[in-house]
Amino acid sequence: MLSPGLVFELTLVGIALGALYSLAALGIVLIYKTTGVLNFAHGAIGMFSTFIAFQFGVQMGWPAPIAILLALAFAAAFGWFMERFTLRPLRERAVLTRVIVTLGWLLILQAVASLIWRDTSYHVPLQIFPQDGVRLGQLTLGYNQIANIVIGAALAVLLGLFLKLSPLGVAMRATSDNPQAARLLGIKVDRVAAASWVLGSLLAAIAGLLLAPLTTLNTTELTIIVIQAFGAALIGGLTNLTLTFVGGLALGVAQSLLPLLLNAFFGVPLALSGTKDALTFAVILAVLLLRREVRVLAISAAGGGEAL
Amino acid sequence: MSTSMPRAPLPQAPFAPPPHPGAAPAPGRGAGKRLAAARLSRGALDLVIALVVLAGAALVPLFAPTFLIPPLELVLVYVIALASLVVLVGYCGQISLCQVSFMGLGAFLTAAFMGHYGWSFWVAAPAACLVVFGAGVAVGLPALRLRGLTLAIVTLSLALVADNFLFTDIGWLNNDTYGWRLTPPQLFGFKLTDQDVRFRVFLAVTALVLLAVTRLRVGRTGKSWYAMRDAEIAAATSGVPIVRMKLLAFGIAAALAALAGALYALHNASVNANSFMFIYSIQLLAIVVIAGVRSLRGAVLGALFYVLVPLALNNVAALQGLTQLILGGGLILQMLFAPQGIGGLLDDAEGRLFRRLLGARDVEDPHRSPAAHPARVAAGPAWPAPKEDDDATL
Repeated sequence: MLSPGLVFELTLVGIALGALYSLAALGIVLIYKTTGVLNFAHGAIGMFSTFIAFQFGVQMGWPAPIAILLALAFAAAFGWFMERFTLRPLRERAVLTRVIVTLGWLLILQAVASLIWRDTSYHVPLQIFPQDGVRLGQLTLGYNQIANIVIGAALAVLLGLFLKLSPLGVAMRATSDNPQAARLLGIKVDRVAAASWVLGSLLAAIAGLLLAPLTTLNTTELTIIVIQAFGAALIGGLTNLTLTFVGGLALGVAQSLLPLLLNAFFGVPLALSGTKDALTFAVILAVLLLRREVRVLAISAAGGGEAL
Repeated sequence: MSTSMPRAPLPQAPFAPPPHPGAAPAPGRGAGKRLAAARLSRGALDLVIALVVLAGAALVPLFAPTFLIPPLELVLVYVIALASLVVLVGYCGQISLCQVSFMGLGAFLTAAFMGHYGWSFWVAAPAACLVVFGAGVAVGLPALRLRGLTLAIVTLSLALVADNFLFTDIGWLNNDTYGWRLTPPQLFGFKLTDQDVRFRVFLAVTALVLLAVTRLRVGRTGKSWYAMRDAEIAAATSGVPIVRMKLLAFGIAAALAALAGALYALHNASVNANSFMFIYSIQLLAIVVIAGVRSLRGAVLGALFYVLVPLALNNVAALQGLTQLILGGGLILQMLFAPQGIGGLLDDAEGRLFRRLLGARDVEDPHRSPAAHPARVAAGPAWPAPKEDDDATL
């Protein structure tokens, strides 16, 4: 039944989910803008960091803040390592070559995670915020979901301010606008690239840590978040951070509402799990085919062997 | 745009450059003749090698231990699956992260045709391939406007749709989530339950596929694909029907994957969604890029590795994820240190050996992709392209 109350509640749930898609997508856009690499391992980095928090915080019972710090430290170090040793040497090469390197990292991270933690779905993720929450009609909006919305919005604003005001942020924007000019002006492009990989990976880890309690923690579920993030990033044209954030929210809300709508209008059973992937696919395809600038961007990126 | 190889600036790649002053004088007829002879005898050499391998493979059931037959059968399945990637990635420079989904679609459709309509496997499998050919063309449609990066996103997203929607939510396809059991069919009175018979049937199918793909490659289609891969706009202006060629490539690649899927179903005697997860598509791309995406030899090498390494490792339960780790690591190392892949390295070695045998250092084969030899591209081709290539590329 399609009651306005239920729609409202599911919209809130969708925003809580979408805020995390947005966070992951912001990381992807940040990395893409400054280095021209589309990071397919983004979700895998988030997944692995989340497992690290799980290992220390749940398996070994360390205090949650330490577990979270360790997870974030891993993400930052990994992002730096990936850029420094596997992507920087390939900077002059075709974009697809570097994308394939990120696919290689996806395989590695997923393989190592399943070697260590096995391919089961019975992991209890680290609960950062309490599961219980405010009752809203038929649904309960958990404190963790509220926290997702708040953290997502706060981080997005912080990122925006960082890019606007801080010297490093300005250097990042300059590099993404015109790498040659930035280099001539004395900006250390290498350092900017490393910084954006570190920042981007941190965003992936935060998204993973917050997302795990909402879904299941296994080696696949968080790895494929990268596709939702790509969807949001493409809505933002792979460049516009504000639009990317809004796109992530819209994707989350649409995914949350779609089963209900399909059920109400077409009698599709609510239990179908794959509708959200189908929706993301449709969004990605639509954006790519309809938004001319995204297409042009992607083609020039794929075709040119230029430095960035 | 190729996925894996370092690319030369576009205008240089497939075309004979205009003769420019100061360049070395073009070699005379002798070199051309020797070149033709070299190519012919090298083709013959490849053919002989292929026949020997084939004959050896046909004899495998006679002397190989019984437990090795099923894995070797699986190798044949993956040779076909990887050949589909060679066509798409190696010949056409497109990328696909949903090839295993096409495999799964082929397997599920074959099983569904058999289960719902009682068709024989020999009707159901070709029908499934035909349907998946259509699906591949449909995926190729957006590819007409997209390439590279965006195609990777679209196909990965499609693989997830297959994983979580097609193979799990569509009751007609997955037998209401129960999956399918297949009864092995008969062929000329031989039951395919006999694994030796089945192995030989698979071998015959694989050989036919490799032959067909080779025919395509050396023919007009292949030349159009190469031209399209190396310089799409130039190819289009030279009269290569880009739309048709690209859709054909996607269709053929999808149909080959579906054929591999149907054989996979036969091999397992069952079909279920777990066999066709998106991560396997990435693994397949990794394996074929490592083994050499430019030639079918890469498909054979890759399939051997992909099946036999896990077989060797699986005795140690702790090492089950190790294959994927090796693949990921290999992919990165290869991109960093040996962009042409193992197949490319072999190609180079074979070329050197052959030239030494022939005693003609100056004879090189322009059919070898220039991208595999960055140094050679940088120096520029030493002579105009031979006549027979002109109609395809110019």
